[in-house]
Amino acid sequence: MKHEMKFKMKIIKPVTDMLTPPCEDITRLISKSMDSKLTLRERIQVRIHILGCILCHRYQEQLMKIKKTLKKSVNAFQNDENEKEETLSPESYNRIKSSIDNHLFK
Amino acid sequence: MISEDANPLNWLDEHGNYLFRYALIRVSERDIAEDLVQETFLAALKSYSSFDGKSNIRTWLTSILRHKIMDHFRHIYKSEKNKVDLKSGEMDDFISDGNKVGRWRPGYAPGDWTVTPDDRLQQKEFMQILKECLGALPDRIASVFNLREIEGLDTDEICKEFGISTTNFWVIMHRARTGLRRCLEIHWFDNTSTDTRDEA
Repeated sequence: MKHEMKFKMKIIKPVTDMLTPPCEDITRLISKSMDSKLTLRERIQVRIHILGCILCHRYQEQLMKIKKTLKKSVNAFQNDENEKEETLSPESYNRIKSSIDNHLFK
Repeated sequence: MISEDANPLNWLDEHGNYLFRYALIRVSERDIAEDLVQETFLAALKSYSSFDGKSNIRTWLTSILRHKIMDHFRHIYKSEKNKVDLKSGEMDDFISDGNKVGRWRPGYAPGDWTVTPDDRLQQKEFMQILKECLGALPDRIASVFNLREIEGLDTDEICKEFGISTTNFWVIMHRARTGLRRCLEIHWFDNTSTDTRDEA
């Protein structure tokens, strides 16, 4: 693992850095790829850059992890799978109740 | 004729908290979520005669709430006071001059999240931090991000809805993701991922 890392840093990274735009541009493309289809050129740039750049590779994996976890969290929260319940406060419950009553019995 | 569930008197007890949570996870603020729920019930009462009974009441109420949430986000996005400069601040993560321009700035680069087992990511605490990080995004950016990542609308729908160019949409989403990523790293992963930060 350590050898592989060293090899990446010393040999591959200078080459991939030379061939592709800097990390700032690559992260923009990585984010864009989650909303729209990248062009072939853009896709190749990301692929090559990531071969040598562990940081942008992590960025990509982390964005995907966030996306996935967010989806799960929203579902769990909506259906209240946690023990801790999030509910309307008593005040707003009463406020809404009386506005419904008002509407129905006016 | 009216079934138990369809009786408007029962709506609040049967669906109130569900709708509240649905709104809260999206708008992040309790009083706004509560207002949206109230508006939803009132709108539902007014249009009850047009409810076709094909879907169940909760689905119908939720679709009304979704429209309220969309209106809310559109309003936030259009509001002058929420305007943020999309050019500035965005790229603190990267070196801005010299021969390493555009590379990750040491100390800001993504740490190693794989040291954290996957099941830890699903813990309540992580969800809590994720929610707080969402709440910390600038309102305007959060409104676009939420429609995309929570509501699941696609790029074209959002650009049309908000009247933004596709390019600006990508910039906003990138800002949101970068901010969220960094917030999570600081508040959740910080003590586990300091070893490999400076290798850029």
